[in-house]
Amino acid sequence: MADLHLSFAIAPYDRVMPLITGEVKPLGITLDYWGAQSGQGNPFYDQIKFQRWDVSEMSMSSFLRMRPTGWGYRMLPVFHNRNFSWTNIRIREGSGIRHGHPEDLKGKRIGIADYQMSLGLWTRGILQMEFGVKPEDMVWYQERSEHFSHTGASGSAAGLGVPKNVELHYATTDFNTMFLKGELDAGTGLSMLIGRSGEGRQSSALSGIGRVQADLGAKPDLVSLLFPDPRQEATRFFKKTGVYPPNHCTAVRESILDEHPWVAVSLMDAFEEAKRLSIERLHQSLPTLMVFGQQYFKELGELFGRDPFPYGLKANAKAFEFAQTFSLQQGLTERKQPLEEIFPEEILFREERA
Amino acid sequence: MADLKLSFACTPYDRVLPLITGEVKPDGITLEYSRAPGGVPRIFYDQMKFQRYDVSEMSMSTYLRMRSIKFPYRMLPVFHNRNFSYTYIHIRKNAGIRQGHPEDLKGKKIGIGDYQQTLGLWTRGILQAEFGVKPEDMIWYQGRGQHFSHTGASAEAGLAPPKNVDLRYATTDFDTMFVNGELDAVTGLGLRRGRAGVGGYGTGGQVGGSAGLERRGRGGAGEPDLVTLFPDVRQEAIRYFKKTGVYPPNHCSIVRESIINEHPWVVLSLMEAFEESQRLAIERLQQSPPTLLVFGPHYLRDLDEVFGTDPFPYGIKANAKAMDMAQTFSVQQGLTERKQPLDEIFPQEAFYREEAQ
Repeated sequence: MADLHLSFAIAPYDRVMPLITGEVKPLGITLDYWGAQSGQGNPFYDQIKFQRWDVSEMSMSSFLRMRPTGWGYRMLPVFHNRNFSWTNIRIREGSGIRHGHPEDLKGKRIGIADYQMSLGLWTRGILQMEFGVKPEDMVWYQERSEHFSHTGASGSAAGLGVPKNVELHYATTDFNTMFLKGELDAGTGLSMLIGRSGEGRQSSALSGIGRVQADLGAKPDLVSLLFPDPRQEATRFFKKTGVYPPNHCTAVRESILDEHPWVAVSLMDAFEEAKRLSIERLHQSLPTLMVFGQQYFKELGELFGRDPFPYGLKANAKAFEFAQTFSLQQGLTERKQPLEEIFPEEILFREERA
Repeated sequence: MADLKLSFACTPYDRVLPLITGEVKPDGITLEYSRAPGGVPRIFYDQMKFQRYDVSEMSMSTYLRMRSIKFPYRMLPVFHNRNFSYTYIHIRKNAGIRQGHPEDLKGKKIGIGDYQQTLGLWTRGILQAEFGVKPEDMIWYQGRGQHFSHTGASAEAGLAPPKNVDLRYATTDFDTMFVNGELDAVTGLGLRRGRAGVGGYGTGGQVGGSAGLERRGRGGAGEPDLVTLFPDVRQEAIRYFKKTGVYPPNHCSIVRESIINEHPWVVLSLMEAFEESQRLAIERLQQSPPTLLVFGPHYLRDLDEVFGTDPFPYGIKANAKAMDMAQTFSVQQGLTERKQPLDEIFPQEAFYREEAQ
């Protein structure tokens, strides 16, 4: 029988590359890879509004919001873009927020790219859980526009409003300009904005749906990290909870699952094999540019075990429960959804024995 | 004019990969990449004995020895496999060597893959320069065979092993020797335990890297009880780098001299391509560090503070101190008789290229 052809959109993560290059192939399926040239913003937008791809990376938070509205996708427990994103909150010099004092965020103006994004879900959830700072304690500025954003798309596609308990404004310029003018006190973020890692990630992440940032080069001390040692804070949280927060999941078109239920297992197997290969290769040849890579790996192994990106329902049960709890708490969803409303049946069966 | 076709053997390092895949192409040259399944030990052996490839990665130490007897290659200042290898010395517990006390190595039996290898050159040189432990203060056991090794291939070319050290050839694998108490320490490239416990020595964990020259572990000897000589290897490496500014390169790049003589422009074309390839690799690592390396962006930031944005500088000037140290150690250790002037080593165009820098 000929392969099923499924369109596929995902960032070219190391763990997924063998699936993208075709080195690993899901049994009975040919994945037609679309690419992710314009960053992660547009694929999610297109999925929310146009259900464009059969298989794609997807925002966890947007998924949880869209699913109860009859949105036609189920989730594979293959998670991407894990981040300790609250540790990358940035604060403005002169904002009155002290380094290492998240509670000082109360009453402040904080920027976020897109209110409902998973980065925000986790950042708000963990600020509340760990430091008692609630979303409504801050004034929110969304950098993406009212309609051309995930939050906006959820509104136009499914009538989902913005949570009413928070004051949410739409920025009329980029956040760096607002920082320079003193119109913003803090910003959520994925990148560290400092050193080798900061600039590159930022420029790629902002293409497409984001705004081009003003140059802060003339005022290098204007914006700095809330947590003086973000890695230490991330490690503290992970040791306490065992959760390395996943921002993105994988979505599969429900009509395909209904017609070909085996697709779920075939895709899971392939994602797992691609990851296994990537882990093996990374161990065999660490990037030489990552000096001390071996030692970093040893330290990470002691903290996270061999695989910091576990796939599967059980391995991610606590993270998933956190995400649903936060989503409800923040008024993004009305109820926690039972797992069988979200994941394909065959995935639940697959783990019965696990 | 048609491209010059040059055979090319090099480990697929991140910095070199765009050159291997063909994404970056040297002007006027088509590189014909050899997968070289034996890894660098075989590439080096084949270069020493058979001058097999036009362009290749090469052992610095071996190159310095072989060049002194007219080895027909010149060096490109493109260095690979930088390592603070001396920090990866592992010691057997109960060998009478205290952790953090390199001076305790005196009088001890130490294993090494191949006596003349650059890892050994730097390990011995830095032990002597930093801690006063001379090569002749230890008894050396070479893991590779007497002939099927770089040291052996050099001997066949007329370069005998240094006479000032007691050098023996291991008759079994190092793990067995450790378990039997016949070895006290071993040099190495990596950590021997934990997720990254590969590349230590021999074939034990050196996946894919060293097929061919290495001695096969017999297994069954049990896992020897080893710890690193330095309790915090990274701290020691950073201390050394901050003091000297040198991140020791083990490997260089070489180009067949007859090709350079006939087509001197090849040097510039290759240098530019290696540099462009590295630039691309740095850019990509910045933009998407491996997600599996959690905290990768944090690590990159930490590394920037020590090394700047490019820990692998290419060029003669940027590597002048490392090159001089390698030559000093080589003479000190009796591996070469004299320091060779740089114009006997590098191609003329590589100097001209840096005149204005």
